[in-house]
Amino acid sequence: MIRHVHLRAAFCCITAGLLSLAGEVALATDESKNETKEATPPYELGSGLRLGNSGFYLGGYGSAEYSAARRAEPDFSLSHADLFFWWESQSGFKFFSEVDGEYEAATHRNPDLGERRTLSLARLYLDDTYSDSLTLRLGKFLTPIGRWNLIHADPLVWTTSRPVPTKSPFPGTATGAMALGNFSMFGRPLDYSVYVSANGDLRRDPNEDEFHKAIGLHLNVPVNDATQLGFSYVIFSQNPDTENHQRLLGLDLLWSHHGSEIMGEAIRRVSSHGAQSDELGAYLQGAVPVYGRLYGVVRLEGFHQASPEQTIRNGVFGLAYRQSRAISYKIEVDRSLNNNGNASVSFLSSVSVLF
Amino acid sequence: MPLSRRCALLLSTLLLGHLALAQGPPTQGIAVIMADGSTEPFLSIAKLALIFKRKQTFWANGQRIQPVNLPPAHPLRRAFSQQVFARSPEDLDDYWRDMYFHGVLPPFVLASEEAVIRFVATTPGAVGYVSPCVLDHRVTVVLRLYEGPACAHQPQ
Repeated sequence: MIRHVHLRAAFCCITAGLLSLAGEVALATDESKNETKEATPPYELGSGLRLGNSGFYLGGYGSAEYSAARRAEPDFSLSHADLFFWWESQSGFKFFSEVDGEYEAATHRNPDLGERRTLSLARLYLDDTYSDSLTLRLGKFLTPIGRWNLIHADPLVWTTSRPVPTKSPFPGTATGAMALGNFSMFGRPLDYSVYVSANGDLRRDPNEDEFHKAIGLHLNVPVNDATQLGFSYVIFSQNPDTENHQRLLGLDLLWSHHGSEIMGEAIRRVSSHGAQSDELGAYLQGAVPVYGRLYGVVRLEGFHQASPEQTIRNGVFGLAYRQSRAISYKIEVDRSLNNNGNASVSFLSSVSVLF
Repeated sequence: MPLSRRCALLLSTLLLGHLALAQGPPTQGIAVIMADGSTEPFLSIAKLALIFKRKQTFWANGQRIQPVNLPPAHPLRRAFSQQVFARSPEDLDDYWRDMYFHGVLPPFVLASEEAVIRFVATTPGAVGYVSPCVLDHRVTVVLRLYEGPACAHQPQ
């Protein structure tokens, strides 16, 4: 508890210090030559705060959520308050960090649904870019499996809830080394990332078991202007059951055209402990513009979970209003059914801001 | 060659030259520009799309690319976006939202074509776009897009 308070105090001090530095740098820039002034854009919500010409940037996102379900107390919470801080040099060095505060404030928390007050280090890495086809990354980064995990921030996705197959079968972050970049293939960039993760995690999220060891690959291939296909493969073990050696294969798809979007992922995780520990899941989600910036969203998902063993089928029906690039409002009804015949319906709504 | 054919060839050459001069510099379209003396003699549309999506960030000589945009409402920006990405600037919002999550920001936005020319001329590795009628000796054209708004300025 004391550790949490100290961390939060340090977090606030760093933020205040950086904002004050930003003010000073902005003032200095205003007094400089016209050319510099033109190249320093004013702050705009959703595009980060550039700290003058220092190469430092500050940004983040926050979201507030209201949820209500049968046989559960409704709750209103500040579900995420994340701060990005990064620095980039002209020579190709980049430092990026993200601190994730979850459920810092809530009227009621349901620990069974992962609603715990936590302050974790979501990302902390150093990039050294040699060319567009090779960047070396060291530190803690998002596990490149599928598509949702790489853009999971609330203002970036269409629904308040997250598809189970994108969260449950693998840790969302990895600590280790990665090589990433893109190659031109038929005039289109093929993105790749290859990574290894060693034992341990930097200030891990208590809601998930981190990688013990992992080696993986992710490819993203643009098929045409509207369609992208992804492929993920990883061999790994997780703490605390480090003897369970697992292989995960994933396929993902994104199609977007004139504001409409279809996104889907399928994963299969095979365990050395036998078929009873295997997991299999998929989701398919569509979003279409209904009126102006208002979108209708439907998602169907299925997941066979190993522990406790059950098969879950979810249907999500909702609306999302994207007021701007930075602000979005969402409401949805989630209907869940498992193989024991237990059905549940929940209502979720949220407002999220990218700053 | 008979004299009459020589005369006809000379006349047609003079006529074509006169027509070309009368036409003057183009008054429509988009000129993609780099600093005068740039090492890149020509850019393709596919390469331009990679650069303005921040997928290609280095020139072949290892220098960092500095792309600059005009504001989203500027007619030239809208025409550039349609021709290079087949999308409007607003249609690319989702893309930039995702990239921002990874600490990648869209190209700088400069308020005017003159500001673009000044930035491109003085910044190593910079690339931008302007109307063909505002071009001058400070920059060199590496690609010409033929669709675009008519020039707001008189050709110089």
